[in-house]
Amino acid sequence: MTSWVIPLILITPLVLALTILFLKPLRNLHIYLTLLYSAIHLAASIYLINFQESFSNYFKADSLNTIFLLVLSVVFIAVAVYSISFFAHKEEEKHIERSWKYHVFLLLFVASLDGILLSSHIGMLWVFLEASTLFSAMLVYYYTGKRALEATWKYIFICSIGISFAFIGIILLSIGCIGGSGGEIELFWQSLNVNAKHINPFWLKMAFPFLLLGFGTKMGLAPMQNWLPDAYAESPSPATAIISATLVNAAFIGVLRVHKVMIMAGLGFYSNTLLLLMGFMSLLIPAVFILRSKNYKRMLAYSSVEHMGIVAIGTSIGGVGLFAALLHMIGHSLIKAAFFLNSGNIFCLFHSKRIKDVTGLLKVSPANAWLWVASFVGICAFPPFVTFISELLIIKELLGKSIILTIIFCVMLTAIIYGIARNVISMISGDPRHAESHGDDKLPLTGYVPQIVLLGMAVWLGLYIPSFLLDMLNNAVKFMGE
Amino acid sequence: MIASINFENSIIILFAVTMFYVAMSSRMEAYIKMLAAQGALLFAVSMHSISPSDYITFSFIIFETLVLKTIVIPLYLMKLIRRNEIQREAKPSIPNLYSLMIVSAITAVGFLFAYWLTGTRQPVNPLFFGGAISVILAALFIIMTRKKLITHIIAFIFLENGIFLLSLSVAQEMPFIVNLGVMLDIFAWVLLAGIFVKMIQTSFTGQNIDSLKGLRD
Repeated sequence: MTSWVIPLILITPLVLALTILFLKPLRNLHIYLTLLYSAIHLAASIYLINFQESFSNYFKADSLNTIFLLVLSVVFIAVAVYSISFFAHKEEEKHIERSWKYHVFLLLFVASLDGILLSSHIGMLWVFLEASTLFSAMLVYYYTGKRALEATWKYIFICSIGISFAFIGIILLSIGCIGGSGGEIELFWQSLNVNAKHINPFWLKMAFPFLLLGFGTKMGLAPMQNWLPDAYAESPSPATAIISATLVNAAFIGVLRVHKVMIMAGLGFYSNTLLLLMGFMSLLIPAVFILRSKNYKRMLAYSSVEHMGIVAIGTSIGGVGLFAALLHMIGHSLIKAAFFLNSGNIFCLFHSKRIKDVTGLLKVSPANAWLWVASFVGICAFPPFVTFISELLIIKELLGKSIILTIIFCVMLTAIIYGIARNVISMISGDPRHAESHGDDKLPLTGYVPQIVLLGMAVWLGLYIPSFLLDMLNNAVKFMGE
Repeated sequence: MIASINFENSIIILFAVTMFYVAMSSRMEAYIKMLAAQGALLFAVSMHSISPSDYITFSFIIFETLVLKTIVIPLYLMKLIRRNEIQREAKPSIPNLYSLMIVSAITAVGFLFAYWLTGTRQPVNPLFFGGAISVILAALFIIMTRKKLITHIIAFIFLENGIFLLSLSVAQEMPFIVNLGVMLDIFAWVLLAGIFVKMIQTSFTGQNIDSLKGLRD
């Protein structure tokens, strides 16, 4: 059935971005337009979950992408609400002249993510993935200055190289589609899945590492994760929140779709092995670097690399592991978005991103301190957060495969938890070191509510997964052919 | 038929040889001239392999190869280096002679791999495939060994040219809408990267990758 909802969510942000461009001085209007679109987006996601429609041959809602779409909507609405307080804070007032850029590129970025998620053609997915890099680069460059420039350059360059690898993978896959036993196969996901057994396995095996490396770059998987700490640390906190919670997911859907083709082609073992390898590499790097982190936003960036590694490992296990990986992806998005939004509050209070400059948070702002601790507990997968359930399921499944890998997995997670805990404790405890740098910096309610709601949802899912979400996750696992 | 194959062979060989010149040279203008040469060679090879009866694809390829790759992008980059007074590449990580030897080895490996594939009856044109693999690998090598940011942009476009040739080696074409999106993305990337290089030039003392070491743990 042809959908009008899909063009609505793809075209509305373009119209709103143009409106903002023409009405630059009306700053409040920018905020309301972003809020309006986030509400439309949530409504559209709910609609597409219930009616999995398509638009032309190139966009289609299915059992897999509707989960990602819902997560994007929830995080986007939280970020849109948080932006009200963030840009009103005096720390941000000096950049107020360019706040329109934030709203324009945020809207375009979300549209590009929708394009990635809903694409039913591998080439179309690539086009939107590249577009997402260009739009999010402008978000990373929001503060301008040397540091932002360096971070943006590294982000654009590393991601573009990665995305070029993905394009090489697409071409190699298309060679396999010609050279197989079933005649010429189109590059639509459905066609690739149905005809997977007829794709030439040699070219499929050649294509997969390129596609994994390409999509893995945007997902933040090692060894292509270098852009992530710089980009996360230098972009404004609400932008970091949405990039960290949704861009990595959008790239993950690319990995999942190609992985499905591999499973359908009977090459699941090959793709599982590569995913497992990249997953463990993605645990090793944060385990080493998180201990050396001097910047709390960089620390959170390394934590994102770790969580994408966990998601990759869960996916490689398959079955219950894949279910856990999808659940983990949801939990990570909710908690990491809350964590990054809260880092924006801390930056407004202490005017620094350096861990050693932030002390005595509990005395300066108890609300922020408790939100910081709650986010830490959630991201380290302690109960009652949903990440506890998902990690436990992954560990259980991994234990069934290999005890040695399970031990390595647990040791690396422990090292990462230690690294984050050390920094979080030093930030909340003690006396404020720079007493003059905060004090009257009161934040409005919209500076707290999004984090409370996001963390509340992560706890709720940890205690009880509602039947509609459970069905969605089970359908997604079935859709993957597991 | 023989004349036709020879023409195509010569174009592909010339396309791969442009990377030898890039490996040997340190002059920015030489890099950009090679970029334009690659665009023209891609135009020639596309005209030879695509049927003119398919008007849309035909005009699209003319626009992408002749207008963008041969004229617009090289002119834009030439303007960028002249305005920023970037004449030569900084001292590369390895001497140019060794670069040339390595790029030659890469090219040999690329073609040998492509001909090995032909032996296994794979559906690729070995010359196209070998030329494309060689240029892609050589471009990655240039990115790794050169220090100037502008050289990285130029090498990235060499990489994209290699990918373009690789896509020509496949008989199955992408739908027009996807091709259009790919072209627009790459063009936007070049513009954006150019703007950032200009800003880096203004903000940092050098235009080298070495000057971008402010963000560390």
